[in-house]
Amino acid sequence: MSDRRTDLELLRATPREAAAFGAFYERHEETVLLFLLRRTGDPELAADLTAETFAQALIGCERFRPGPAPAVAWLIGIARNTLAMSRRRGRVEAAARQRLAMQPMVLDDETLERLERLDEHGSLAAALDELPPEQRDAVKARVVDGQEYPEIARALLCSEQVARKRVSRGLSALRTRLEARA
Amino acid sequence: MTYLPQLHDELVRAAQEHFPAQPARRRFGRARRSVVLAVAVSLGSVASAGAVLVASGVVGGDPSTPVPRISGEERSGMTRTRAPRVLAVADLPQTGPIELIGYRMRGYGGRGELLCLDVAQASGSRAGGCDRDLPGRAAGLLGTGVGGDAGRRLAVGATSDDAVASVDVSYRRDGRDEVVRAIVMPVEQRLAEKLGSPAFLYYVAELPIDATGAVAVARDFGGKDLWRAAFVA
Repeated sequence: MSDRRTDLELLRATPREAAAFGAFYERHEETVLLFLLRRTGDPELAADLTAETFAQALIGCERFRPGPAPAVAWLIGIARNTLAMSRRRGRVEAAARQRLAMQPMVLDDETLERLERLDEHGSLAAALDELPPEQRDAVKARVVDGQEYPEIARALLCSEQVARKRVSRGLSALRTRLEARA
Repeated sequence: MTYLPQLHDELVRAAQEHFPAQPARRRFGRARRSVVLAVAVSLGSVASAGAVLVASGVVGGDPSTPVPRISGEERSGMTRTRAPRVLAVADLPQTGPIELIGYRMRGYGGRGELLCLDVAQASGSRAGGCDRDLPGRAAGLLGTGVGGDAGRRLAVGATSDDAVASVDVSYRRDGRDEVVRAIVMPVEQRLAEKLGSPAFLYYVAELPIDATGAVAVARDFGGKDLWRAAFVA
């Protein structure tokens, strides 16, 4: 059963219920991994930095204070600092993991492959977000949501012909962007 | 499914070891003795709460649905040392029938032993947790979870305090204080012993999804307050 508590509830529960941090990790693992994958381009390095990020979050979970920004912003802040410190020192930060006596990460081939695919999906999402809004909305409606053109046209307040054009141009722009990144 | 199950398991283990001291846990160190009388008393409290025990699964038998392996369980050396067994059954007004399932497993890397308790619902939803210690805490062994189809928040806890006859859970909602009587599920001594545990009580209360500030209040059979334990969620 997926845990439906808020991030704040999970972090507050952690000192009494270790599994709450497990749920917090499951919820934000992909976001942190993607953030670090895009900045390092190295799945193993990103996994190591992700481990250190969550270890620091675990140690500091009682200090987390709710504010206008969501907990994931706090987590990304930790990831950003961990990455900056690691670059400055020329090695991956491991202080929090050492303090918690955590085992080194061991990644098998299957995991590495999944992480590489995760980055592909992340690149796709990023490229989609870069499209002009009318093309992005049309492509998402057609490709992601699987809507028919008349339905898209109604939702985007345009003719069916215009909707088809926006999808076609959007996909073409998307292909160009992804090829440029490869 | 996580990308890095090893990291998930390591973080949960690290959280258990990093936050070892629980105020409520110390209180129950005294209560690890026979609680045959408390079991009988608790059955009385269940009846007074209007709860009906139902045989959705056979107590002492296999769970109605198998307990799934947690992510990376076997690869991490976490082997089950006692098979899952139904410890108690109950019927919650909103959620419906539930089974309390207990088992033991070795911790990450084969270190130490964990007692695991799951609440399985007829819908297939389940909430569970493992801890190194026997269930002595007043609240929060499994924290709080959300009860499947009914969309209710389940406040759950376990205690080996043999003086407990009933548990009420108070909470705030829409700026008002409300109270609900928890269903108390006594775990028979013979079943608890098979798990290497003293007999204990497990309690479940259904709260509205937007309830906040939940606190369990345990009372003895004279109605006197024994202890209060705040749920963290």
